[in-house]
Amino acid sequence: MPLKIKFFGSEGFKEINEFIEKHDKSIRASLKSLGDKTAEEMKNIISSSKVRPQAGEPTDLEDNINVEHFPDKGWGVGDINQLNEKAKYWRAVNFGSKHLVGTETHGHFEPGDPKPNPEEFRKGRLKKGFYKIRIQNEIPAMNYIQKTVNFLRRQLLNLKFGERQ
Amino acid sequence: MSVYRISRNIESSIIEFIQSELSSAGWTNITVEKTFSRIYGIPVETFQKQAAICVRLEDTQHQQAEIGETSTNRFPLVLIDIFATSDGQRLDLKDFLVQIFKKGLPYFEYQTSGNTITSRIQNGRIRVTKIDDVPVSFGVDKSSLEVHDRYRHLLTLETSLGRVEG
Repeated sequence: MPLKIKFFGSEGFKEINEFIEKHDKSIRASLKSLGDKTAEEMKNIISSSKVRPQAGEPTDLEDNINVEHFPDKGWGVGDINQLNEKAKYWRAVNFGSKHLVGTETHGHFEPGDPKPNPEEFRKGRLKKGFYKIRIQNEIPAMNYIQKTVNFLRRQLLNLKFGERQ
Repeated sequence: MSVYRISRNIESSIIEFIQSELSSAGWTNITVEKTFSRIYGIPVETFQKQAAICVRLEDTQHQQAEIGETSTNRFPLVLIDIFATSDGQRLDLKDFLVQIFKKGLPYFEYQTSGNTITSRIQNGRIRVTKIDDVPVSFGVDKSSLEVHDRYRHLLTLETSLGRVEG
């Protein structure tokens, strides 16, 4: 995404150049810190979108969303190779998927009753166990990537440098 | 008698707009739905080219319109998932939708009675300020995916009603 800098009035090239030199460091610092903020926002979106109890549970997806800064080239959030290796389900969680529906596994929900109980809906998490379980519901789309991009665009629009912008 | 609030008005206006434009352009067998989980209950048939579109209004940002005032500008994020039956249909459908969204669309305010919409009045337009257009890839061979997930596309619309809310 290009960063636009607007000038108003009758500045010439000399004044524009002076403005850029004067604000270059603050522009770079603001953009760099935005990388860290963006990664944090993505993690927040993921953790706040979870519906089941999370205490003591692994957070592989959030843990593997990092910001990487490239000297003079900007930054990137989320290394796809790392995610493919350590949080393979990152695409399914983002886009939503039905690929697990119909598959069977052995486990039980904990805490909660072993027998189905509507009052325990979404109160437990699936753990390995002895009961045969057939997955019936698809993974809902969390769209954490799209929501983070939207956050980033709004942040870029709100960046202000100098007195006239 | 009750009325939809702004978010539901936007969502319903978009669904109505897509249905109307699809019909005018001669598209058939396309179901437009607003609940993601219901999409998987709709049969997506390759032979009949029966596809589905899911419209969801997700995060909305409210930005202060002026310093010292409480009035805000609303920027809803709308996600449009396309569940097509082939790569060709996926590309045609997403290009069609991008084309119709470029011009924006009517914003309706709906009145309901029970579960039925009884009337609607146009009150401005929904402006589409940005469109992201990406194929949905799960990084695996498509033949290993469930039929709904094989030919998917995602359009992300940044929208605005172009007016300040008090």
